Amino acid sequence: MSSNFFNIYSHYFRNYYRSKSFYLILIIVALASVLMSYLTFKYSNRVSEMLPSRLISLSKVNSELLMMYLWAYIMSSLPVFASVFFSSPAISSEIEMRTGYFVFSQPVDRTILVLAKYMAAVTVTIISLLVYAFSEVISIIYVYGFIEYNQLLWSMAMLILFILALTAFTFLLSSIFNKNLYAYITSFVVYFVIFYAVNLILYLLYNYNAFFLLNNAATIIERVYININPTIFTSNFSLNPAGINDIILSSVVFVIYTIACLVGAIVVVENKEVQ
Amino acid sequence: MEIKLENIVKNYGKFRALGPLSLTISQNGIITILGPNGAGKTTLLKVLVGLSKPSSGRIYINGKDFQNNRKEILKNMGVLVEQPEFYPYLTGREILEFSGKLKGLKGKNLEEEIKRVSEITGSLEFLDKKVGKYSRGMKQRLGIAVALENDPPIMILDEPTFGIDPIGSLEIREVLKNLNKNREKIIIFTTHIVEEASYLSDRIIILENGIIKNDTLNDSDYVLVKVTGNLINLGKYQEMTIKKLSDNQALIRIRKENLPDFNREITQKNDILFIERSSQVEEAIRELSDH
Repeated sequence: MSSNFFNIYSHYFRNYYRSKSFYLILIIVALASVLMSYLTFKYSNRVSEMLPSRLISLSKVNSELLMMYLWAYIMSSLPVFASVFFSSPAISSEIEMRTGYFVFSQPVDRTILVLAKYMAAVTVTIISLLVYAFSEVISIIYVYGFIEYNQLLWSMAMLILFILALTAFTFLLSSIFNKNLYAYITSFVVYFVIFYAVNLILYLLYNYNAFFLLNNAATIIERVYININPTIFTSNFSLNPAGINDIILSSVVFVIYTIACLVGAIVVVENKEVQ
Repeated sequence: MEIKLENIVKNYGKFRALGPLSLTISQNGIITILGPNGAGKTTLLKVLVGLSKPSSGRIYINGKDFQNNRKEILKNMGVLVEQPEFYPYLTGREILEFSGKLKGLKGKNLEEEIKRVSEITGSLEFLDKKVGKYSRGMKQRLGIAVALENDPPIMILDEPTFGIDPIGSLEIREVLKNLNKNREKIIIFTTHIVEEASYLSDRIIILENGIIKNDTLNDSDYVLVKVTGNLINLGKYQEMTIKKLSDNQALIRIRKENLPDFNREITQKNDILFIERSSQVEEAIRELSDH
């Protein structure tokens, strides 16, 4: 069982490096890294100007955290593109490209197949984002002379949990559809339209913070630096990092998404007919 | 090995694609599922290898329920269903490596097995090319090579000669014939070509509208003949018609010893299409053609 998992994992992991989507994402990530590095070098002295005047008297540490918050703000969007590009076709392409006849008739549990492909997609998403993470560390250390490793590690840990949840979510959608395009479009629409719309409705109409939405939970990646939630319209925020309760709440949301979506994807694939 | 299908039915919505169908295969050899397009041949194979779930009925392989022992049973099956497609950015060798590993092969054993199956299927010369550059015939050979890996006792092949040029088809037929030389495997394959079925098979199952119309041994005493022309002229052979293909075409299973008589009655207009494997029968046909 474990050797089959490893065989499938390594096979699909290597395949990602042969796909154009990997290099496309790498270019997007590299471009984002260059732009954010440019911002860091040009804007580091004035970063406090983005805040209301009452909060401008920032210490150097806060100024650095604010810059790291901006890096993380972009960082939390990148996995959406990477994960959707890598994961959306993971199952649907086997049907669309008719390779399912080959792979689903092999003596392998479909559960193992889904889990191994899932881990391959997660790994390649994390690897593609390393370029951005390295650029952040280098730029921040170069400009500020030091970096808040504690917050950085929390942010990275939350990023990995987010990638796990998001990839599981796109795997579920991919297992439902038999065409890649439908899986791509649905993933983007659900994340960028449905989630944001629900968030807005619940917050503006009912003053309820929809913490359970994946996009909302993902804000923890930047909120570990400064607790400003960019998905909520409010003037009440502090320049302190998010507390451990916020981190736990977001982690639980990520874990629930991961487990529920993976179980859903496995159930769908186990019952999927190759047509 | 024994394959047993019990009251298999497969519905797509309100459309019944297969069944009710019961079938037992316990003798090694080539078992051909013969039928026109849409007869349910591919559906039957898909159900048999778990690519499609039956709406009702059970499948047992060596007494084990397929649904509950899918992985273990597939270890004993080499499968080629529909026209095979493989990841186009991989070479044939990489495909065979991947599928071999999933079947538990590794190291030198895997290398030797890849060499063996690619030699049998004649795919050695293009094995290091990307699959995206393969012709239909090359993919078909690779598909058979994948099915052959680890020497499974059961092989399921769906129209293995479909879409291949005539010479390629003949070569693949010879591959199958050689595989069956020692009757060591159960080879189930589908085709809509009567000549192919007659040439290769030990047993022919004719499927029509998802139901078995005829299940007959293609033994040395009998031949399967496709007759075209005026079916009224079939006369006494009418009762041996196992399948009417159209208003002027039928399949007939006939004893070889009756062949000359059969041909005299029916082949007056040279309207018999006939392929047979024994030299004795071929001689008889040649004789008749000369007249």
